[in-house]
Amino acid sequence: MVIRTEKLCKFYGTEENQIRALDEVSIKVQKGEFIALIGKSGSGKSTLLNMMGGLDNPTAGKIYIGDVEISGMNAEALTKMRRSKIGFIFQNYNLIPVLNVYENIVLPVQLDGKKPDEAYIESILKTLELSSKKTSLPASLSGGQQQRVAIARALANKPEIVLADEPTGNLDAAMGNEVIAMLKQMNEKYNQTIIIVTHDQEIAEQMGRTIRIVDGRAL
Amino acid sequence: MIRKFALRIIRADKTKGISAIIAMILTSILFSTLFTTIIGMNKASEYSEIKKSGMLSQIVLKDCDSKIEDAIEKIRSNDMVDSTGYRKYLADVVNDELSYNVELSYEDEVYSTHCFQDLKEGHMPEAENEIVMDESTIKALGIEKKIGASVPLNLKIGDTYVSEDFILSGWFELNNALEIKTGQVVTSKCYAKKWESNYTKNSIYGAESVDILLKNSKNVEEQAENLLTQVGLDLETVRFSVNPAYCDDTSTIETSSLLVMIVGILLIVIVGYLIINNIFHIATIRDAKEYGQLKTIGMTKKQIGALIGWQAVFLLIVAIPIGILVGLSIGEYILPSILSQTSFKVVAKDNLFEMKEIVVILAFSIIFVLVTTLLSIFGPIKIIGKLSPIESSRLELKVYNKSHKTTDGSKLHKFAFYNISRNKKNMIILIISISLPILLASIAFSVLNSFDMDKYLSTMIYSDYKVATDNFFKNSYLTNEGEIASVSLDTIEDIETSDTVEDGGLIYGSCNNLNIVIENEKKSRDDYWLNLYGLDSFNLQEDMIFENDIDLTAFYDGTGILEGVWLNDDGSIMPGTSNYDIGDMVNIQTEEGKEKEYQVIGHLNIGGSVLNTGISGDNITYELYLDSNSYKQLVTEPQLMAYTFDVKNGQESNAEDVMKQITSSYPDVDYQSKTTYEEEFNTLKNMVELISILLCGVLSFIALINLINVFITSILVRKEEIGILRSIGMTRRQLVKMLLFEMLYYCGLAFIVSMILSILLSITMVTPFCNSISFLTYSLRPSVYVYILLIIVVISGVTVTFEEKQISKKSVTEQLRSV
Repeated sequence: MVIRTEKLCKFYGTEENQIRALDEVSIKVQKGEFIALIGKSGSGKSTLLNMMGGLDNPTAGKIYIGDVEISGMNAEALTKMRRSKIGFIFQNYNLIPVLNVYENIVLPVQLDGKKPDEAYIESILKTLELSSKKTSLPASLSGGQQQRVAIARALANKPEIVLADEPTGNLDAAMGNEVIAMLKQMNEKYNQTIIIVTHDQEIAEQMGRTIRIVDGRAL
Repeated sequence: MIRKFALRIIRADKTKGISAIIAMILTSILFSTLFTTIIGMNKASEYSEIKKSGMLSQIVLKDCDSKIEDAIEKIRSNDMVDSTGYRKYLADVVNDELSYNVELSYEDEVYSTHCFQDLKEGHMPEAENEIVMDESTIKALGIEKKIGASVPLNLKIGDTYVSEDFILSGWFELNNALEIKTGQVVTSKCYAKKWESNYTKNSIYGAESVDILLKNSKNVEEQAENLLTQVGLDLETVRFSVNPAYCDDTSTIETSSLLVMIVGILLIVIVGYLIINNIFHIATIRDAKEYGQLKTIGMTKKQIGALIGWQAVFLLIVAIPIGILVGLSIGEYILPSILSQTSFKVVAKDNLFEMKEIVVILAFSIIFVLVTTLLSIFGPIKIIGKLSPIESSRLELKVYNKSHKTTDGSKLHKFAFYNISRNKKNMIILIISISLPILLASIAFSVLNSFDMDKYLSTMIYSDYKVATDNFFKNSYLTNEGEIASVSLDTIEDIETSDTVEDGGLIYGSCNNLNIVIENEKKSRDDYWLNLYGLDSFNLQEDMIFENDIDLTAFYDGTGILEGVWLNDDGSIMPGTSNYDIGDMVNIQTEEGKEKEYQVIGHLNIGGSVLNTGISGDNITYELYLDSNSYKQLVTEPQLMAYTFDVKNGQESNAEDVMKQITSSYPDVDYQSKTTYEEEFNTLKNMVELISILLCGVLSFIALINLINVFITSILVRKEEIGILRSIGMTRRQLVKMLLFEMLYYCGLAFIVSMILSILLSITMVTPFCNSISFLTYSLRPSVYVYILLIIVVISGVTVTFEEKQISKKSVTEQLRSV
């Protein structure tokens, strides 16, 4: 089991005005799965993804990455765990504007104190058709190119898990399909566990498994 | 609606509001303190000279006769005149208890006011037996200081002695600025009339004078001549004097000094501008996203401009009054403290500022802060106005390059550099805004440590004491009455016999005696001024002579003569001050047909401690120095200008006592000593220290505020980006490290810029300027950079740590969430 949650809860506010973003969510994810977390806007799917990625702390319940319980970890430990085991892809790409494509991609590796595996990085660049854009800064790239850089960055550290929050949200349909296809390719090539948050049913149908989130609960 | 909205924005972001207000207050304080202090010091200098002269008025008409009496009304009603006063000198007060001169006179109220005798209590005398007098004399006579107290006075009128009983009707503070302490007793008009019926005018007793206070203090001599001519008085026959405190000092500011002052003021103006600019410019760019969002709901460019403008106005309304008031108060508070440490302490308690000057300072400071703020917001308003909402939201994070070829930019130290250099123009402005205050502070610090007592003393005095008349020290060796204020031989003998003198020498000086003529001078005697001196060997020091290795044999054997000259800052002879080259012959003739030819053997640097009369002519002035024996052989009536001497070891305090006694016994004699100059030097140093420390403090604070503001703002606009970095694995420690690098880059670059500029400025301008000042030998003090660096490093560390803690209070998700 790569990821496991047990009765995971995330509440905001006090009793009268409490928002139950996640309400006792228990799910299990196996290695190599390609999963879509689907639900309406405000259903809690992004919240669940953030919890799994150690970006936020639960109000109650537990999260395991492998055998390690991360729900009680401190921020620093979570950060270190995240950069070695998890790759994150955001809807807004979230590239660092002052670093070029190559530097953005290898940033998590550098932060982990390791030297980038140049051959591996080159292969990612080639797969994602970014080889000619290595020295370009994000501002000079199209949305699709930026998202591909974000994907490459997520993969740079050879993470076990890739979490993507609406990775096609800011792309047109054709580009969106291309990105999903690339992720599928990564999943098949590197046997990475990939979980994608989407509200798009068509994208969800391309995944191996779908977990529906409704009002903070997993169906 | 816009105004209310602006007010709400300010209330919502108190940090920004407070930062902006602090910046405006600081700038207002900087300016108003600086100008208050500078104008105040200047006024103090002028006013202390006036107070030392004993009179506020510029002109005194002496020995008033009927002609002057007839002209008084015309004088009073003349447009040039502010007011006139009248005085009649009646007697000397000679009570045994008094150890100083006390004068009894009738003065009208105007004259009293002009003589700084404003009553503290009581009223001007009306009854025949009423008097007002100064508090020191009341105390010296042992009189009870209360209205109606009995005051028995022993009076001397010419050769007549008489005792009178008076009643005290009021008192005033003695003018302590006077060089020679003189008490004043003022009688009523009734008493003056009674005096006239009992006594007749006899030299100074009964002498009447009218003083005239002009509205304008410029070109007083010219005004005096015009006024007296206008009212029908004959300039040849009327006796009048012009207050020397108002005599125009026509020394112009040298170009280099002017340049330094202009550059200094410019730098301070830029510093003030930049601090306000930083706050507003950065704040507006930071809020660009919000302004962009307002655009999406329909707010026009003009409305957004008004929104930003009104925020500035509300902040200005709070900041300007506080800043100006604080600045004025600081200036007015520290000014007396500064003055009390200097030779201007006599005016430390006086109100030096007129309303118009306060208004000028206020107006200038307000205008400057206003203009700076408007300029600071104008730029960003223009930029935001042009952008779309999306572009607005990315304004600060916009990177202007398209690529760079490095591959290790993700290493923290490089990453930090890329962060600070996103927008090169902004980075440069920010570096300048931090480096300028550091530059000014380092120069101020160096000036502080450049005081050179030896240099100062070498230009002032070469012996322990120099003795002359008080007129000589006031540059009135040749008095307005045309008399030479020489010192008597009796005075010198008294000093020499006091057994405190190790060695000494006389200096004779004939100040433009028309009987002494340069025979081989083509110009007529009226067209040149001649100061002829005789020096004892004690008064001719080697370092006074401009040329090296001069053989003085000819000087002492009476065949050689030295010419006094002035030197430029670079040590060359100032053009126009030297009329002779070495080897030229000078033929001097005096009355009774005495004539001698001398060869010029060298030049004396008058700007050093060489004594001269201090008086020169409008055309050519010759300053010629002979050996004293040669002088006495040539000049029938030698005029003893000064006596200088060194004190025996261990006799220093005795010497001081002797000199105090001498000045008491000979009231017209005064002296200056190395101790006096050392004290003057120390007071000067204290004054400059106070100002420099204040300046350094304010400037350093400004630099720090700039640095902290710039840094905190750059973090705030990157909140989301920092969230991203945390999300992809940057630990808090790595974040702190990166932020520290950024802070240190800002500081380092600012430090390098300020160091280079301070070296350049020191070499080109500051050193020559300071070295032209008698008490400074400027050198840049490297230690200041260590102190600055230390402060910078500490502040950087604290700011980074604090700011990182603030950021990390939020979870990564909250940081990633857009506002």
